[in-house]
Amino acid sequence: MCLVSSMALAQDSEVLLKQYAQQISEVKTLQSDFTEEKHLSLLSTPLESKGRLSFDKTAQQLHWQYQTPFQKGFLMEKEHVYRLQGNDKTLIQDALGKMMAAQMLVWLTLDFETLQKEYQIALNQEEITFTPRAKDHKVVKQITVWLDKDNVQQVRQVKMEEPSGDFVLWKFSNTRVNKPLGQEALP
Amino acid sequence: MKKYPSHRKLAAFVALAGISILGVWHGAVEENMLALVPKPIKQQVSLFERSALSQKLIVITQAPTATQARKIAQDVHEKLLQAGFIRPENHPTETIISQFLQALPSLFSADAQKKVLEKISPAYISQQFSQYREELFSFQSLFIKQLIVQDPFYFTGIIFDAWKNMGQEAHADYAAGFLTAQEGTLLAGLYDATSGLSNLSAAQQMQQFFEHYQATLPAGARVFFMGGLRYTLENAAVIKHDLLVITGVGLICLLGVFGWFFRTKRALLIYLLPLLVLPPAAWVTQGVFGHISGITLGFGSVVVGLSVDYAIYIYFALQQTRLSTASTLAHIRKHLWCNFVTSGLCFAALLFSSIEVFKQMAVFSLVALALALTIALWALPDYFSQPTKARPSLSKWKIKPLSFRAACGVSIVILAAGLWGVCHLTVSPGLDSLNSTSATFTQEQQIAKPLFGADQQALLFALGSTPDQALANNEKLSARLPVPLPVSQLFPSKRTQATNWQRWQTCWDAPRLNYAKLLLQEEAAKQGFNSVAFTPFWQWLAQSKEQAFSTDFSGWYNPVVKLSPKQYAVMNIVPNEPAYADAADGKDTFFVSTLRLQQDLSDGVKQEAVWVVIMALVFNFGAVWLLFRRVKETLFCFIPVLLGGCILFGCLALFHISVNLFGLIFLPLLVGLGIDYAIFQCMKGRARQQQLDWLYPPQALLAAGLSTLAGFGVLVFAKHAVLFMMGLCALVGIGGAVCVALLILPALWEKFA
Repeated sequence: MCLVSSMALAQDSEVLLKQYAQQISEVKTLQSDFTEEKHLSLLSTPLESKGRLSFDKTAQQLHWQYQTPFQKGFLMEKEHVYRLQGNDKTLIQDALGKMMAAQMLVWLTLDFETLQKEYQIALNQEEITFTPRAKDHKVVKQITVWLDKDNVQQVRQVKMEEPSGDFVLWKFSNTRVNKPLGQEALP
Repeated sequence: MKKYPSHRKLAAFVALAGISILGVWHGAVEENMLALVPKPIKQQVSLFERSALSQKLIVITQAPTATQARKIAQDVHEKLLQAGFIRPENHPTETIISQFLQALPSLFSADAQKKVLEKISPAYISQQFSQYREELFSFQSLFIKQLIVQDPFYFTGIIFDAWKNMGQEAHADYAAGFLTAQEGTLLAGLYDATSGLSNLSAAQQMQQFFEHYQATLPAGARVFFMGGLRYTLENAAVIKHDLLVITGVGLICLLGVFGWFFRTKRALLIYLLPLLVLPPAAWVTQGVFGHISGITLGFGSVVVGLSVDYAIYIYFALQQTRLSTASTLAHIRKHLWCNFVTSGLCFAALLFSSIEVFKQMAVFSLVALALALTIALWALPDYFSQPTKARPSLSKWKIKPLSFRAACGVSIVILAAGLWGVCHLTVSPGLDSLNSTSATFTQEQQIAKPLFGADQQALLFALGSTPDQALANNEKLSARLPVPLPVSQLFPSKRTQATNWQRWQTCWDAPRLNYAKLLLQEEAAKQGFNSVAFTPFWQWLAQSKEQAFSTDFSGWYNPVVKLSPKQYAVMNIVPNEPAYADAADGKDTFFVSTLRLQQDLSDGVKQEAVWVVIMALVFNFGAVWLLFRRVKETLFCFIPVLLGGCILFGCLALFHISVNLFGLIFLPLLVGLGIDYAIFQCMKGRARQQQLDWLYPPQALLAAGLSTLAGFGVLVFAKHAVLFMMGLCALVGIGGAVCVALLILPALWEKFA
């Protein structure tokens, strides 16, 4: 009985995930403000920074810009990734930077197909939990994504926990989906 | 058997040739650049050849834009990895900080100590922590925090800087795994090939891979490979081409000479001679040197031309059957011996050279000529003395010498042209003249040149009987320089590592340790860092004082080159400046730059050539004087040599042909062959007094000269630069000497002798 009900539950989750994936795939442009909180054992108080995120799926562009306390960020244009520092824009040539930006794109589009290869995905209403399949993952212990109740195309919050206990929390607000992006959004 | 009593003799030589072919087949045939350089610079070339860079597979990418070039270069790299042509690179991993920290005590030189002490200061730590804090806000914070915890003072920056210096010293612009030039449109990836550098099959597969890949590229983009594997491919292609073309053209030319002058079955024996003498000569050379060079074998074509001369002279003399065979041979034997002695002495002069290939050529030629003379005098006369239906028609091709006046006029013009040629002659000193490479390769080398800045760089080597001794000598060398060598800082000898560790232990005494702790606590508190977070750093510091760890970065880059089981060299890439050249003592340390090497090679070969030519001239003068016992006739014999040389130099200068260094080796051969033709004419002049000048028909000289050109001159079709230059010099120089001997010499003889 128990087995049957858990199987039914798993099937429901899968159906729901597919629905979410379908709706998220319809996101062509996205713009949002974010607040990033880093809770590091290294620091006595968390680090908080704020910024803005712009994404254009068709143009394959992603702009992640911190506004406070430092003017920093990165810009991804197709296969190229640039580091932004004030008004400077530098092409990132190391594999690490590229890998991080590519990961960011996977997470932003919630590409479940790709993510499933690396993570076990659990769904609880609008809360999706990703646990690395590799037991000794050095960077990630768990990632939790909270979607907006009213519009699953909008991510409300993301929490990335590390094996060390450190975690980073991103909170998104003023999210605009499939609205034209201004010139300033994608430099 | 009665008709041809020499069958047994001939059979014995055929058997000897057969055994020799088997011997050569099982022996070693080697193509080594070291065999082509004079002894004094052998060490330099050997070091240059075995430098770390020369052991790499170098993949060059050129594209219209930097972005395109990088994309293509990365794609080629991935595909080469997938195809298993190259080994995965040993990149620094995420444990790089731990590795560097572990290495730090053994790299703790006085200079490193100074830098560490500068970091243990309030000003430095304040600036460093401000920077750390800012970086923690970036998306790279995941990795930065590892560094902060493990190395809050950023001591590992000292090692990072040393690695960076290695690239700067090399004048190399290195970014994201590629050497770059021309604003990023030209890239070089340096990889370790999975196959040996001399593996021809691997080189061919690699070539196919690049050909297929090139076909997929857009217009204006180009990808090719360089390095040891490419040289293997180039050399193999050239040797294959040369063997086919030289053999084919040589045979056609010899057939032409045969058809022109002989056209009898028996005369075919003349051209059987090279087949009988070359294998034993090659076998003996292989026995003397342990191996034989491909160039020496190529030089066999010279010996083909010379070895048939004896048989040709005997054939022509015996076909004019006015005397008995024994009597005819008695008359011309002196001439043949003299020919052998003069040619032999020219080759013997090569034995005084320090260039191994020249010595091989000397042994090879001497053995071949001695055998050729033996067979020509001992086995062939019985065949040639038999009357034939098809005698050589001497009247059909009458050669009319010039008049005395015309001969003098032409000689003066040739002398003037020779003088002008010597003044305008250009000598190519390039090392490339020692390699057999195609025009495409030369063009691609030019494309890749800006990446390596060969003119700005040089290599500084420290030698030792063990890797550790070489490293120790490298440290001594570094101490003599105004700026220490980065390699000596990152790769210290075991003894220095031990000294460095002691310095590290002494440096971290209790007061300094407490001061550092206090500084860190204060700054951490000020910047909002949790001081407990740095526990891993203090634990490492305590452990590093108790236990020494040896440093080994050779997985990333190995500057130690094995020259032989008992000789190792540490390679440093340094600026091509006098300070570095002066620091090398030429005993344990060597400075090698492309420019200097080319200069030394050029000087060395010129010196050898001059020495060998002088020896050849002296030996031949002595031999000819012993033959004629008259100075006038002796000097007379040098006229074809002089005028032949003038024609050669005049033509080379006129057609702007840059003489490859090894073209100079042709000069002693010109001396030997030119004298042979003159001796023929002098002997004929003397024989005329006894009315025996029919023994020396000009056609014999022409047939001998053309046979030599057919054998030797066809080298002009070779792609190998060394063989090509020899062929060109033969065609012009020997061709000139033959013409002088036939057309000018008789007129001068008539007047003066």
